[in-house]
Amino acid sequence: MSKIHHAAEPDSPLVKKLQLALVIGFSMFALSIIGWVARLIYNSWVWQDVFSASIAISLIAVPIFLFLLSLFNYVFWGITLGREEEKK
Amino acid sequence: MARTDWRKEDDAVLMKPIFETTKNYYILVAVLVTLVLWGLISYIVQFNSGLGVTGMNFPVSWAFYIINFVFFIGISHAGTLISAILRLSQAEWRRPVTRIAEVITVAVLGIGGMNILIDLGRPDRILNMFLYGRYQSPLLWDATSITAYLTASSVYLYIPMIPDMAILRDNCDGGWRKVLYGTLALGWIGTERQHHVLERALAMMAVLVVPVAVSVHTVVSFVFSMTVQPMWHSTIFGPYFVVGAIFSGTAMLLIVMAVLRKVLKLEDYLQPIHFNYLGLIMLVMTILWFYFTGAEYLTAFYGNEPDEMRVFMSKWGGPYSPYFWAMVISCFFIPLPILAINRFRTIKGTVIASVFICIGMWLERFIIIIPTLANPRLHQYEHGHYAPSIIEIGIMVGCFALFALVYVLFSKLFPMVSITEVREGRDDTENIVLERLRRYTPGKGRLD
Amino acid sequence: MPRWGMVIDLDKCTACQACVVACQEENNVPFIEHEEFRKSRAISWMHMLSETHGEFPNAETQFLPRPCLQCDNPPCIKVCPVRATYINDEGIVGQVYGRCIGCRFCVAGCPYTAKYFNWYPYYEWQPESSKRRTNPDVSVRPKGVVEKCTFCHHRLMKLKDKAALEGRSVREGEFTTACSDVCPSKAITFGDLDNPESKAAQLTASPRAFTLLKDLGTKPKVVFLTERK
Repeated sequence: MSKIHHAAEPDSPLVKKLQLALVIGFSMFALSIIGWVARLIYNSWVWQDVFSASIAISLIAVPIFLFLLSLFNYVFWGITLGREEEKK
Repeated sequence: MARTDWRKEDDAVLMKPIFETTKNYYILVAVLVTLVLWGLISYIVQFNSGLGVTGMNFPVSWAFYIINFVFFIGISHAGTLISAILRLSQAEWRRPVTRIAEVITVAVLGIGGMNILIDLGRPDRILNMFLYGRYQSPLLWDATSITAYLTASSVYLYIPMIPDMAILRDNCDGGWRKVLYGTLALGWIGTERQHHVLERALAMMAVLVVPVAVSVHTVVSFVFSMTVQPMWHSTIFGPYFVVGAIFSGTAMLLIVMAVLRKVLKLEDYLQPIHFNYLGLIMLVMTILWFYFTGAEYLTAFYGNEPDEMRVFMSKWGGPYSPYFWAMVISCFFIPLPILAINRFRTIKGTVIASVFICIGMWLERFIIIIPTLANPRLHQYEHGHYAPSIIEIGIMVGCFALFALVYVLFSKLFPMVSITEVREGRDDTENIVLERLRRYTPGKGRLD
Repeated sequence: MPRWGMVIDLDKCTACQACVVACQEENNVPFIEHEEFRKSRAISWMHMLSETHGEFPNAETQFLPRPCLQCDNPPCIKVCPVRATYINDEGIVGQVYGRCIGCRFCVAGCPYTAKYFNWYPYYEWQPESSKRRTNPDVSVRPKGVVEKCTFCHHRLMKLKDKAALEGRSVREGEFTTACSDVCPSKAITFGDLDNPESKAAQLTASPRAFTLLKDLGTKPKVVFLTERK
């Protein structure tokens, strides 16, 4: 497997903070989309306005965003924490 | 200081646009910014005065902005769909093409969504859609699905960029570049575990992105097919739009590839074979497009329903016939011979075909939207008419210029061809492909 | 609950368009200036459709006054993303100008083309003489929102308030629309279609009764009576 070997120079504190901001920012975004969908479901329940459509759409949309949220975090933490193994 | 000198690296030409800026670059950016400003000023005029500054009227209440919305969202199928499908089918020739395609997707999805906002009578009330939205409305399905696709495409664009960011991080001299690439590289150094995480994530994303992409243009088509208007209320719209999207998306991808090849001197990476293969995909798509169009119009004609026939005749021989026939010629009759005949399926040939296809597909959106609105069911109305105003043209030019500008800026910061994927193709995949061939060659299959 | 509907007798209609003018005055429908009218942007909640058959000297023109058909199964409310257009318990399809984001999906979705959009702030562009005649009971529309005939719903609201103050319910025949009031040949009859004693409900049983675009299943509450031969 092709490996790109870089000498292990750790990231500066600023870079680390920005990386954390990236993952938190994305997670907030994904969670707020899910929150939005939930709000629309709530609205349609309160107003009795085609509740079934809201449930149907959310059954597709929410898992997608949950998946993206988990995957992004998986990639982020997997890569940032995965550099330690080289030293073993 | 930089760890390595990028000029000495194998794929230095891919990093050249990032580290070196020519005078032409500044001129190009200046021109594009001017065009974008034209669009912006047009929009400000519209925002202040009202949508009356456009050519829209009663009953043609949807026009250029919705056409451009559908067109741009259609183009988005280029990137991620092609990139994901090629990755899933393990087609090795995709390597230099994937990032170009993925950037197209992310850029046009944003611009497509922007066109909807531009079309609103009260964009200041857009929060109403978030607070009081109703999921019975296809517009909400659009909003959700496009957001999902944009998010998924951005993630799908970003993940393979991580190793490239590491290369750039190690090749740059510090300052804001080091911070930018360092942040985006997430501390990548190429360990076994990091590779494993990346590959797994990419495989999962490639699978997810395909149904999301298909759903996006299907729900865009539902905006039309869920009404009861003549020649809109057709069950074929979902698949028709998806096929049209892949079709126009591939054409746009080809044009962008040809431009980048010339401007960034990527002749070694984007070779005639890439254009040949994409040309073959477009050949299949043009035949499919013709089949769907034929089915749609033949059904309308044979059914002879009066309201539908009025719309049909206005396209076939009426006021919209020049656009209708231009569409058919541009989408099928010109590309078919170019793409079908091997001798013509060169870089130049496929680019010519692609330009016609893009124009033809834009016309297709025009032909779908305007004639139906111009021929209301209550035939006692006079036939509607529409002509774009300078504001709509300005905004459309601004949108295309914005697309080009996003691309140009992206190419200044990030490599347009994935360095990692190309290297992987060069170093590793020979054995992988050979192994694959050995596995399914019958008999004692030896391939030496 | 009453279900408000309208019966328009095409035999009695002379196409004088008094209903159009009355509607304009009652509902503050903006007076569209010539340039905008030429661009095909006139707003006409009650609209007189005309269709000419044959050639001179045997030409015959038929007229059809078309308000919002106030469907019981409205295609416009299904597609509204923000619930700016909705149907209430009494069957009136309403329009909330404050919520409308101007996407014009309902305009594109209405098969009767009964919805209108304010391409400019038409109310503000009206001559002073028009503005002085503004009906204070009806909101004026800003630019960028959709509007349509509401069966003079504001009159019903006022009547309900009045009736509540007097401790009674709204009487049959009390609630009328501007167009039905003013029609000189009494071609327009407005009433509760669910009340067998109302004239409108009785007229819907006429053998001459028909609805527009019946096959679409929109169930419009405006019923037309054909011309007698």
